[in-house]
Amino acid sequence: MLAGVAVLDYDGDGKLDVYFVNGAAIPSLQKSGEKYSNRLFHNNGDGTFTDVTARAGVAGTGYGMGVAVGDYDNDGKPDIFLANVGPNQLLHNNGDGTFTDVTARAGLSGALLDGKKMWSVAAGWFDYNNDGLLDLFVVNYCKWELNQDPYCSVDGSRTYCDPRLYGALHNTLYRNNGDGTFTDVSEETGIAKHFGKGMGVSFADYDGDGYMDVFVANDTMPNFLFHNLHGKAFEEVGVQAGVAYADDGSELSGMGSDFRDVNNDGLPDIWHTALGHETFPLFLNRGRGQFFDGTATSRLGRLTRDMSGWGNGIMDFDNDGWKDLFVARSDVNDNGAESGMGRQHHEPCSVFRNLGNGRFEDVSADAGPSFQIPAAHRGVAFGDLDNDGRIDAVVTVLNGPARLFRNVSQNSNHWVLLRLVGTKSNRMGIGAQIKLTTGDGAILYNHVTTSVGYAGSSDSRVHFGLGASRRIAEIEIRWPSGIRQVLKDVTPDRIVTIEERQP
Amino acid sequence: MILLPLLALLAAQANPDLESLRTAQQLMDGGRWADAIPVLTKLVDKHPEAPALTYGLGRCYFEVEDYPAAVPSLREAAQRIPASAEVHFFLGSALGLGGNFGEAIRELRAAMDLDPEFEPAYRAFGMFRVERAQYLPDALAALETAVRLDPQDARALYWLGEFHRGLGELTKARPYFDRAYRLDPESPLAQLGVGQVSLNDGDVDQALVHFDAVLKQAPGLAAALLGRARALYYKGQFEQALAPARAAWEDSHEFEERRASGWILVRIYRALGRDAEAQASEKKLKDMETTVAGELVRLRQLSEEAARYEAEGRFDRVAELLEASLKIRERDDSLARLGDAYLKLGRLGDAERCYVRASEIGALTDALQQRLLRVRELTAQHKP
Repeated sequence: MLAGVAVLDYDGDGKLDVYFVNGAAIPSLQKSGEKYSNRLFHNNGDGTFTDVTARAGVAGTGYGMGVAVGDYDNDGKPDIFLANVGPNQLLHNNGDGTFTDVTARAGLSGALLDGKKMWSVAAGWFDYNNDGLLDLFVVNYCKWELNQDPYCSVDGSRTYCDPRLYGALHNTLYRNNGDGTFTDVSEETGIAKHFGKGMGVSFADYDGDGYMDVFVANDTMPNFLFHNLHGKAFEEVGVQAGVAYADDGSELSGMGSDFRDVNNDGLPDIWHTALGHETFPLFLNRGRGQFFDGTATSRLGRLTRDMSGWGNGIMDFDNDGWKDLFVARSDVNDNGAESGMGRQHHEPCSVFRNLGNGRFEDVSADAGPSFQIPAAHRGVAFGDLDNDGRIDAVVTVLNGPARLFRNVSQNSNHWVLLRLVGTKSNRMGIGAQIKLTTGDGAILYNHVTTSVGYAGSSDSRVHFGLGASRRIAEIEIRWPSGIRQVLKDVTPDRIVTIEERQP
Repeated sequence: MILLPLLALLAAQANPDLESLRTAQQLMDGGRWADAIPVLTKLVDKHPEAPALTYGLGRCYFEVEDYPAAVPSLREAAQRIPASAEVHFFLGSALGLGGNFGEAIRELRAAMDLDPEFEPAYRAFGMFRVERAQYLPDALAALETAVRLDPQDARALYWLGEFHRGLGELTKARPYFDRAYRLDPESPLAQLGVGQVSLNDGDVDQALVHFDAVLKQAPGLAAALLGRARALYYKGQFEQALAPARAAWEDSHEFEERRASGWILVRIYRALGRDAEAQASEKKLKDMETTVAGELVRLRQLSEEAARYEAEGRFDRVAELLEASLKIRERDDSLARLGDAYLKLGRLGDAERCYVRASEIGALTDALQQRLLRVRELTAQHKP
């Protein structure tokens, strides 16, 4: 499966750096050589990067899967959590370009089930109880034992077994105690009641009650939508909300997910990826806790049916004010073609342009030669790596060099990038909801999150494309603390830092 | 035409039944199959030695869709005219339409082997496979052959499209459905296919027109009801979507159709704010899902346990476990394994039964053919 990627400004120089997760030797599941190290690349600001893994002390241990970036101690420096097959890790950012493994003290090495540490694939930081401290949601996959896989084949060629043949696991929620330690609250919040095979996790306040909810894309099981009951507990409402299954009622091979308003109605929608012949469903939030399956009507059914996708994101790549879609693609089987399944393992990445009328078009063919190269793409992290107002993407490739998709879209559209700094709320402002009104009167919505796609972590700064509008009439921020902050007449085409203030 | 050779023979003999025979042939030629049945029944009684009469009677029952009555006559005809692809085709079709898919597959294979140019046999073979959700390479090959032999056969085109649709390959399915529809715009099958791909492509209004056309001809067809419910749901017409969704749920028997019906019903109830009914439907959906998941777990346990006994050479236990797994779900690989276990136990008849059944529900692979040959050789050797 593998592997996640994060973009984060670990050294506070205003430029996004890149962190890659890596696997390990099999069967030991240990990073027995340097080639298995996770990697941190410092952004030199001139289009080049420097590998600072050793100095930073972030090589990681064990077989890595996913990464989640969050400032759990509110010291203004982003920390790194690693979701692994074996013990998970929390790397504290010391602020001097180095990190310290604080897993044991934090109590985050991973929850056990039947005496065995659960296989974690992804994780995400969010403040579920709005106490100003980032909590951690860890996504666990399935029960798996080394060398005990059943034999599965198609037409005589061995293939990966269907996940249905493996037992399910529950996810883990850790509450941040504010002293560098965490408490596993999966049982008391109801998270542990629900067993799935989680892959992607994303957060948004879908019902506008001021508390972040959780969407988990499950592999061959119904998706979960954990509705946050005011920071006390969660109820799983995937079926009730209409996001558990594909339109035909089937369970999809859920992979990455993003939970963000795609149609500018102020209600966060869900878009997740899946495998070939399944489509990548788009669940449109209709309000009142209900989602409408817009996969077919948006044309995404037709566009994605023959694709297999992993990491994904809902981002406005052309700054026209409508968020587009990006997917890192590849089939899951590396011998799909010869096993008679008729699928190529390597697929190119794709980008779908939001036409602003509820429909999307595949613009990959015109998006540049990088979008024509098939590979075993996996995780993706989004962020403006060169601070030019255009969202870039870093994509991991299984057994291959990673790829950086630098956004070179040419148009005269305007933009703004908001860096939120919480004071009463968590320092990164994760969970803050933003309503932006352009000078032309268009209203746009977004929120702060780093949990995007599959096993990855994206820039916490919030991007808005403004179209032709040269002016931002108003920015309204609803902080997790409940504070409502309004900025008027903001100049676009720049990065704006906004500190949380009482009105 | 069926009775033509016999007519000539009886005419030459100045047989008194010649007139009855002519009547039967005329009735059949005129499509009055039901009227031909009593005439042919009498003739068969008088001339049991004439397989053409038996075949003719079987054909009449087939055409009036009385498949249980058709099968004995066609079976007898097939035994007496073993080289006729047509007879094997109608026997296979009658068997399949009567619900005996396994034997149907064998008869249709025989028809294809006897006459590699006999298009209806390929179409029927593929159709029965697809109807049973057996999306096997032999089904694809048969349907592609049917379309190659007769590019104007709308039904073969539909089933080829349906083969791909069943695998989720809608991009491949669409051109076949479109061609079938152009050839036979009134065909409910072609309309259904075009409607389904249109719906998934987001062409909701177009899909709705097709589903409505299908439902005019076949008001209770679950797939069309489901399509109509989904199309109306997409259009936000939740009240109107409810009736077809309910009917689809009640009328669907096949698992996937039932699951899809249940899911659309849940969403419609939720959209209408009818939460109690939504919850009841959600529970039914959940129960279906739990049953299937439980079956998969049990199948894996039985298979793994059987593998352990295979390694220990305890084939009596292997047979017991695989028989249990086949009661949950009939799979060709389990049948082949069970056949091997019976072979080891010297139960040759049971081994052959398993291999034959495996070839009926799955592909007749080289490995399976080898096994069948082997068990038949051994059976012959053991005969006194």
